[in-house]
Order: sequence, then C-alpha cells, then structure tokens
Amino acid sequence: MKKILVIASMMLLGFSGAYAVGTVAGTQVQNSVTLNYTVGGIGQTAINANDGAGFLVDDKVDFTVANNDGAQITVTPGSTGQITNWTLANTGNAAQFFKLAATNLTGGEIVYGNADTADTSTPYTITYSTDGGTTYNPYTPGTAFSVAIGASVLIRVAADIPLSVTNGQVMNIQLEATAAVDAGGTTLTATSGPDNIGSVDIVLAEGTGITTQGNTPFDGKFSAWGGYIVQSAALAVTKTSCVISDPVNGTTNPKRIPGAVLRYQIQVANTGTSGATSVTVADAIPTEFGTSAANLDVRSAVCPAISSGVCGAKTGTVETNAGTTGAGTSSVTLDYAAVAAGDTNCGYIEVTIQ
Amino acid sequence: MKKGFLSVLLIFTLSAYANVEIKSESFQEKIINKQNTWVKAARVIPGTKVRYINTISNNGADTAENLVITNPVPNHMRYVEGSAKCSGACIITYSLNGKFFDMPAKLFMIENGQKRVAKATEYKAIRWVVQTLGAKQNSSVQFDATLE
Repeated sequence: MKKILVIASMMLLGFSGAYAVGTVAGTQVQNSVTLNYTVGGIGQTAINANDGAGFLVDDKVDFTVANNDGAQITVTPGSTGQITNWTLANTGNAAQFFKLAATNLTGGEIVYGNADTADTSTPYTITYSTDGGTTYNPYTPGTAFSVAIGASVLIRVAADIPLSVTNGQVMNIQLEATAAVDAGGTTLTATSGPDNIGSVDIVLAEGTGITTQGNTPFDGKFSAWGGYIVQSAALAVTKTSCVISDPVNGTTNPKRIPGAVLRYQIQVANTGTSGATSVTVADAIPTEFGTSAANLDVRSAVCPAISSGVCGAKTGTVETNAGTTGAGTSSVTLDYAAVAAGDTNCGYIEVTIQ
Repeated sequence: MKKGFLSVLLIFTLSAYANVEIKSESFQEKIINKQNTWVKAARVIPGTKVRYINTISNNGADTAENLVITNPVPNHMRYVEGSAKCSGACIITYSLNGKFFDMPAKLFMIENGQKRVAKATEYKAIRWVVQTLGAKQNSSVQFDATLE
C-alpha cells in the first residue's frame, strides 16, 4: 500500500507514450464466475463466485539505458564539456525513480568497434531532459529523479578531455541507471520472501544491460556504453640546412666557411586528422650567426627536399608572415598559422656564419 | 386422508434438491525445488500467466443438470489460446462480447473492413456446459490468462 501511495503522489517526469508497459502496478484483478443449472428440469438460482479479492498487480521494475550517438564522439585534446547522449526508458508498470552514474571504462572494452585506450577526466557532468531535449536539468550524483510510466528521458554526460591524449585514442565510458526508492537515491530492492497478495511487491525485471560491467539480470541496474575518440593534429618539426654562397666560391659549390650564407628549412608536418592552428616555431639563433637572421618566411604545402647541402629555389606560396619576427636578432619566431591535416608547411631562415 | 397426501407430497418435493456450490481460485506458476508448481496468484506482473480454476460441488441428493459456467475474462487479462478445459465431459464456447457464445471458428472480428476469425486473446468470456453433476460429486473447469 505504501508503494501505491508513493506512486500516486510523486512527481511524474519524462516524455510520454513511447513504451507499452502493461497493467499498472496496484491494479486489482478479480475473477468472477456464474453458474446456472437445473434440477429435475427446473432452473435453479444462479450462483456467483469470485476468487476472493483477486490480486493486486505488482510493480514490475523494468527499464533500459542506451547510448544514442551511434559512434564515439570526436573530440580534441584539452576540450571541455564534451557531450555524449543517452536515453533512459521506463518500461516498467509504475513510475520509477532512477539514479545515474557515469564511469570511465578502463579495461580495453570495445565500443562501436573501438577499444578503450585512454580515459577522460572526471567527474562527469550529467544533465537530463524530460521534455524531449528542449531543456536539460542538472543531475546531482547520488540523487534520483522520477520517470513516468512508459516515458523516457534524454541524458547528457559531459566530460573534459585531457590535453595529454593523442590522435586516434579512444575513451569509452559507461552510463548506469539504478532503480531507486525515492528522490534521495536509496537503492530499490526486490521484495523478498513470499508474496503478500494484498500488497504491491517490487519485482526487479530489467535486463542485463552491459553484463561485463557487473550488471546481472534483475539487479535493478542497467548500463550502456558510449565514448569519445580523439581527432587531433599530430605535428612533427624537421630542420635541415643548405649553403647559398660563400665569400670564396660564390654560389658555385659553396662551403660552410666564415662569411657563408646558410638557409635553414624548418618543416612542420601535420600527420593527424585535424588541422592545427596558431602554429609557431621559435628558433634561437646560435651565437656563431650573430644577428644575421634574414629573409624569414613561411610557405605552404611544398617543401622541396634539400640534397647534398645545396640550396635550390624556395617554392610554394608565401604565407601571411605577420607573426614571423626576429630578423636581425638572435631569436626568431616563424608563424605557420594553420597547418591542415596531411599538410607540410616550410619556414625559412637565412643566416651568415660569423 | 387429504391432509396426509399433502404431507407426503411436501416431503417428496423438499427431498428433490441439489445443493450446488462453485468456488473460484487463481494460481500462478512458480518453480519450487526445480519443479513447476501452481501457487496462489499473488506476485503478478505484466506477462504473468494466471490459471483460473472453478470447482463445482454438488452437495445435494439429486443430480444437477445443464450446468452452465460463465466466466468473463477478468479485466487486464488476455485469454491463453487452448487453455480452457474441464475435468470431465463438457462443451466449451467463447464470446467476444459476453453475450453470444460460439465455437472459435465461428467468432469473427472486422479489421480494416475485412472479416477474420477472432484471436483467442480477443475473447471476453468463456462458457462451459456440463451435462450433469451427480449428487456428492465435484467437477472443475479452468482457463489460463496472461496479465497485460
């Protein structure tokens, strides 16, 4: 009876109508039968009977959790508040409180075909929507909220992505819902022992969810997996040099002697899956070159190979070099601006051996 | 002499009776010690199958005849096809409205403008007709239904 009162009084949340849930908990089902007969050809008074008070339909606690993303969410290192989307559906025959817990998977679990290789930062921020996603309410860990019969709620789990993760790493997570007694989050347990025909008992009837995370059938918990995959730039810097001229040989087979002019080519290659922006390279000019740094520029996409130390012509489109500074000083900064995924951009510095 | 005849007739009429009773019970299946057992229906949730058993007892001295047991399928329950039985000989018919009873093959529904044989889950009542129940005899009828 207490359960019935709770069901009747608690606030019912969730957008409705999605799931058939069966006869509502607490409903009285009674059988009635009528017997007519004759004796010696004379009709007798009909007799009615029923199975006492029948029975009260018990509370079938049944629900599911599912990840809605269909694949890992693409994230970049250091990004914050990255959202995965989930649905919690109350398929039981009574309104039900649920509490939520999001956790990192740590055992190489495969989700959407991708094995877990890294972890997000924790804790997570969880919000839920009872109006189909129009508004999301903050969820306080440990508490519970009610979902109406046949309704479902949309859930968002937001995570911060560590700066240390690298391109292609996978951070899979689990969202687990647990049936609760009330908004305080007390875990719901099945009614033990013999049934009392006059009361509404609790029957945990949910499925397994993700069994490898410890959920067993009918334990009042259901979980699902989702996750993130890192898509970032992967930059590599390569520095080579060649001789443009020397005071003795001019530009014909010049050698690295005092007075020779050298060119440094600084390649920035992006082998990642995302473009990189605000890319700069700082280069401290050795004292042997004094403050001779000159002809600084950055060129896109084409980096001619330097062979045998002989300089060829610089090719490629000159990037906007507004941020390239340091000519005539001992500290140079080359501004590569954006380096697209798969591109290699080149910076150039020319110096004179003192 | 006339008074004596009336007394004999009255005694004869009173002795020709059948004290018939009917009892209805509901059960559900439960596994106890790895054995399927039918216990009093109490822990019932959507999908649970309930067995209703109606027991008729004739505690009188005469045979009861043409016993007609009519059992509407309880609200929220759906009849399980083929589950209606009786312990002896009987005729079982079904109804889609609780008024007109017939054999399954003669019960029809209209769906999308087409006439079709009714599904067992659409039955609203079951009727058993038992020809006779002798004095001091018992009989029973039963059916299964699933909670919606």
